[in-house]
Amino acid sequence: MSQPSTLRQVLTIFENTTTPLSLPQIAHELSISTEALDGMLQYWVRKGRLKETAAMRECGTCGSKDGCAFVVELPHSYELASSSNRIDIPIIGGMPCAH
Amino acid sequence: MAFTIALAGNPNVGKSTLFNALTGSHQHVGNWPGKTVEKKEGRLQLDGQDVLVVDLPGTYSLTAYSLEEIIARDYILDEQPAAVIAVVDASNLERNLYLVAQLLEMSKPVIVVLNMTDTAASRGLKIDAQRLGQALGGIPVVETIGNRSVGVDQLKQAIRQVLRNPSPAPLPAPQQRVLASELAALEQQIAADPALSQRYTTRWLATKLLEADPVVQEALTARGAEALLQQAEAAQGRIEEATGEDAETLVVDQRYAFIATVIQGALRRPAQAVLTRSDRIDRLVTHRIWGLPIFLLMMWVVFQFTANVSAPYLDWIDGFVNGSLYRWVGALMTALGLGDSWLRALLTDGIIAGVGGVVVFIPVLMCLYLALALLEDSGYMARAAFVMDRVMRLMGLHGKSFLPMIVGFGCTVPAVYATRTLENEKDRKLTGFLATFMSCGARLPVYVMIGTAFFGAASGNLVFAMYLLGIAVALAVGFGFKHTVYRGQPPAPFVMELPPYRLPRASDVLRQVWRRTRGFVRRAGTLIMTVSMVLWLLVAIPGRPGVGTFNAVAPQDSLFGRMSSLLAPVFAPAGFGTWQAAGSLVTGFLAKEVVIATMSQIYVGDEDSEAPAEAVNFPAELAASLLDFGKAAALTVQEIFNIVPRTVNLLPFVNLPEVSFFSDAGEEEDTSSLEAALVQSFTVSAGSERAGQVAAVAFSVFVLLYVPCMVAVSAMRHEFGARWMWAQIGFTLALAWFAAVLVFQVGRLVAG
Ligand SMILES: Nc1nc2c(ncn2[C@@H]2O[C@H](COP(=O)(O)OP(=O)(O)OP(=O)(O)O)[C@@H](O)[C@H]2O)c(=O)[nH]1
Ligand SMILES: [Mg+2]
Repeated sequence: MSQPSTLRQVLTIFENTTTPLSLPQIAHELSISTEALDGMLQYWVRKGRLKETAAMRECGTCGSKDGCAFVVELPHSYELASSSNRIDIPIIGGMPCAH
Repeated sequence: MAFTIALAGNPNVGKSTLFNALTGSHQHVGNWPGKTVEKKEGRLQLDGQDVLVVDLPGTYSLTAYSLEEIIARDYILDEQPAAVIAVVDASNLERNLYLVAQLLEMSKPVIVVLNMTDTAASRGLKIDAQRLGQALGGIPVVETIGNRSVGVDQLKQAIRQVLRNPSPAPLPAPQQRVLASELAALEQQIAADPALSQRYTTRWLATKLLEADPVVQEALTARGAEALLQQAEAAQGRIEEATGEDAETLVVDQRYAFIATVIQGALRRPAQAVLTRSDRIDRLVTHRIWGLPIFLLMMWVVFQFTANVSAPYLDWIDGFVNGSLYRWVGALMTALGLGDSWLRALLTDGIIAGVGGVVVFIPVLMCLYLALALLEDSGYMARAAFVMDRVMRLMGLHGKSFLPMIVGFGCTVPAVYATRTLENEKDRKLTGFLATFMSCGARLPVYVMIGTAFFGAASGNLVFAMYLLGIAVALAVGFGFKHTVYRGQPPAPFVMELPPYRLPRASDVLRQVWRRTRGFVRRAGTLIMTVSMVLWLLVAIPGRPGVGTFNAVAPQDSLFGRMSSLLAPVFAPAGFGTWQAAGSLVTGFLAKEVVIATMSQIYVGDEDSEAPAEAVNFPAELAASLLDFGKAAALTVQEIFNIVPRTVNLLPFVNLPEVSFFSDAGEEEDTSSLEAALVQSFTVSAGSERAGQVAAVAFSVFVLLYVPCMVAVSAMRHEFGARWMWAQIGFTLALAWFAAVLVFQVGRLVAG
């Protein structure tokens, strides 16, 4: 085939990088918009090739009603899904807390 | 027969807005049959003709992965609307066209509505509507601003035309040869079966078969079209063999390729430099070499800010709580004739000393929370994982592990839960383990107390050193584990969404500070209060017969004193083998700020000599107190200024002077009785004043490293199991002890 597809290139970038990357960096490299890149990432997430971790916002109860005050909003991130050691815990939204 | 048209589009692109503009008040809101998704239908009069308009749910795609997607595509397939209006967010054209590409595959008449053209224009995006229509195969494109009803007439005009002359939009031609021929073969097969070709358009069905769409496969099985399914499977196999790519990926990629060509002619992005300001900041801040020093500098400023800016208020609130309030309550009790009662002792030596001892650190914590909130809200914190990735990687850890660790600067409990953002179970456990070495907010008051007692103005350095030591120990322990028990493959790199930098919003920052401070105060009012009362009881009860009676016993002879004395020798090699230190460390397991509550109680109890006999001049004291508060405010401003010279002075050969608002007056070094007692006690246990200072550092190190508090430990058990929790407790205790002994023994030699 002529040229690796953009969709495939996204995955290749993940496979070849040795340093962390940001979405704009990848979008720039592939000359697509970050929104379009987002769609491609979602495709690979759905196919089980990438794993997406959503930002953590709440920590159920840590004494106060409105969740733990110390939870920092973490950025969204993606990484290659490894077949081994996968744990599937939904992390969006409320988290259980100790006690 | 009335015509039906459907509005399709991504979520939030203005479908309903346009729907309202088209149908006015003639609409009906209900649910899709058997579904909870809202269904909106309305009527539009065009040249006296009734047109039914349907608002489809917003979707990014027409696969079968969500209810909305299935509803939208089933509607188009089953109800056969005369035309589909594809509403597109013009400011996000590239992503929105993905749905349009799929709509085109359905071989229906399509009108593209470029909505939100105002937003697109404000972002400097130029879209050539005519060329866009051509690139999409000659379909009508209408530009609108839905919420201002701009372009609605043109849209009606376009609908009129399409209804008069309905011709399906031309199919995009696949560029990939194998895919094109397999699609064609399948289409032929489908066309040969009238039952199928009536229900589905051939291209759409062929595409779905190659995509292995589960809903379509099921429907075909139900219709007994196994032969077609088998052919599709064979086609998938051939495609994969020829291209090394699975058929679905290829189909999806063809759509992106199609979009790329469409975009090329029709969209012009702003000519300005591609790099935004945020990108430029990131170039520096996440730089391979400069990133780390910048990160350390940030942390340094944070702790200078925390330790020094809060100091004037700390002194003020300390004077107020442990001076005025203590005496007022004493005087009040004396006036009530309870001057020597246990109740007075419980109130002053128990609750005020214990809870008050912790509450005085509120300014310190507020400063820390403020500094951290500023970093979070500006977007810098998210970059820390990038910066630390190389360091973490050297240690065999995942760069993302640093994120839970940052959470640990606030509190260990959410840090343990934040490890869920890691994919690998081992990484998760290890990171949870290491996050406990990050200095949480509750440990900060201990360093500040020790720091001001032993090092005066240089206390900020002790605080900074403790935070760095926490990180360093975490990295070292991680390294050790990764190369022994946790040997595994190198961590996989990650890709992160970096939110653009922004000026922190005062309201967000203040809310964050308020929420966290409130949490701290609440703990002081509940946990610390309870502990203080129980502790007071333990200190009031004689430890053995003959040393005194209830509430009339020297602290070291009390039950608490006796029990702590048993443990004290363990800490002798670290230079703080006193019963007071040992006792506070034990109670500190409940929460680390309890270390302070305990010390305030037992050291205050120690010097019970000064009876609250002196008369209290309430108004005068209150006035003095208020005056001091004003002075503290001025000193705070001074300290904020002084961060600059102090930071610049880190460079060799530079010595900027610091500003001072109160000539010398502020420097009078009023050490509180607790601080004096602390210094005295450590000096005795360590052997000399210098050694006492070293022992104080060793004590801080122990507080930093030993078992995190009770709640954190139970979070650990919840997440990682009881075995892991016990391992953690044992390991941290041992590590803390060895580290403290090492610091004291080596430090004593060096300090001479
Ligand atoms: N700036 C701008 N805003 C618009 C325009 N059209 C609609 N909006 C706004 O965009 C928001 C979303 O509009 P909706 O009509 O609810 O979008 P929708 O596509 O129906 O969204 P879903 O039903 O959730 O998929 C509303 O706040 C509208 O006021 C436009 O042309 N320009
Ligand atoms: Mg809507």
